[in-house]
Amino acid sequence: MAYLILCSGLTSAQHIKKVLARSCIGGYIVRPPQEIAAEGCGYAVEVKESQFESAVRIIRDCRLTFRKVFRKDGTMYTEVSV
Amino acid sequence: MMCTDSRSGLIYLDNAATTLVKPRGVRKAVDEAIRRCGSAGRSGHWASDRAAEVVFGCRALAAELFHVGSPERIVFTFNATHALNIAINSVINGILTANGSRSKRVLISGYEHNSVLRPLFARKDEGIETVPVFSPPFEPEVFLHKLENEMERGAGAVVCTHVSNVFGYIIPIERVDEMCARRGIPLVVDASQSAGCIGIDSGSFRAAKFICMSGHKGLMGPQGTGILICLGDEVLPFMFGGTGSDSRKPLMPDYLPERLEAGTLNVHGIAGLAEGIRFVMKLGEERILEHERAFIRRVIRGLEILPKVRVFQCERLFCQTGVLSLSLREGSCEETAAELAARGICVRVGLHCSPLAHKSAGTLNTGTLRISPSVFSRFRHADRFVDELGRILREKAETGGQRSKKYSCRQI
Repeated sequence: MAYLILCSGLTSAQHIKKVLARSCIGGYIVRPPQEIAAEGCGYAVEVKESQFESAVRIIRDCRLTFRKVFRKDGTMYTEVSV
Repeated sequence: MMCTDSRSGLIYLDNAATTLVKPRGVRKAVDEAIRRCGSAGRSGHWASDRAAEVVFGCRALAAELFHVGSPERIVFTFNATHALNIAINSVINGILTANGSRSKRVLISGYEHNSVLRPLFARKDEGIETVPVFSPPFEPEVFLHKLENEMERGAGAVVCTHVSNVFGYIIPIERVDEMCARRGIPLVVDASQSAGCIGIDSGSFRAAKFICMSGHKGLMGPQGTGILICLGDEVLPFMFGGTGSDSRKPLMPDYLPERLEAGTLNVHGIAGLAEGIRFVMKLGEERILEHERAFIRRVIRGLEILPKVRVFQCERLFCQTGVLSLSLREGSCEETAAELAARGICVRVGLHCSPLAHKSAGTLNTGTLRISPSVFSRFRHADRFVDELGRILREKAETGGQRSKKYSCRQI
């Protein structure tokens, strides 16, 4: 299980990834499926379940924004509110 | 670390137009990017990912060098002109959509490049009035006083160069920013000639909405690269197209930098630019400026024995970078530059796309001969320039101003 943090664009996703890496949270940039990327092609940072809460806290502390969060379970995506 | 022109015997003194000798890492990075980078972020494969990393790496470096809080505010353009067009269009849009509540007068310094003048004049039919504020070179207090007077008459925006590309004259941009901030006037800064040799702290600006610069001059990147720093949020796309994101939307994304970056980026150029920025950061702008100033100081000293040469210099160089313009009391600058070129010395001559600067200095009819060294220029190049110029002028005097047969323009 993992979490997808949907970002507004590629640069925003890269910025979030960099900020997380600084706190030793390994995230990587993925292209979310069209069904969850509301406006078409999008970018998300995927993080492990165990690091998800810390990741969200760090992102907020750095005043970075993201669009939505989805829990990825196999091929299933469920939106979660944070 | 660097590649020099010592083997070719060429003396390149036209770095204010574009730096020819680049740090070795720049060439290597471009070569590597050509072989390994795809289109940044458009796909999910390794070549695309690598390109995206290169682009973001350069954004992060530029943000660090110019003290920009967020790399998203670093927008890649194809050159400074492209950046200035975006900035000027955005600012004019702000004026025109204010329904008459903002002045349509746009104040500019008397040292602006055509990349500022022409985008503004193109909007004349929409009521935009471009007001150049003329003042002599190297007299910043006179300029500030005149600018303040014009501001009192009303201004919808100010567009100001940080350094004149013709004279190397440093305009106290922080004070211009302060004056604009007091009156709530948005400022656009053209940092094409200062980026890479004068430290720019974007965080210290209060009125500046945009800072525009080329990547191929002081930042040592390849041609086809430029940077637009967006400090404000009112940005109007200049080009429309694919961004690799929000593709269902017919409109450009509303977030930076994608809002202003339509189409495939110049990833190869950006890879080189990143290395150029790294080089500047490693060496430090102060050291670079110090070297370039020492170079022109040496030229100025050498030219003292040539009475037919007028040198445009700031007495103590405190408001001049390593750019030096000369005019000749006899003969044309163009012919002299051609003869210098035939002897392997590259200088720039003419109006340098900045007629306003020449109007300010009284050289509109003659133009000037400009030398602009880089951190790679050697002092022996300064001596050789002075020697050759002296020789050319003596030959001209001996032939009664006739063009030397040995070094004619046609031979270049």
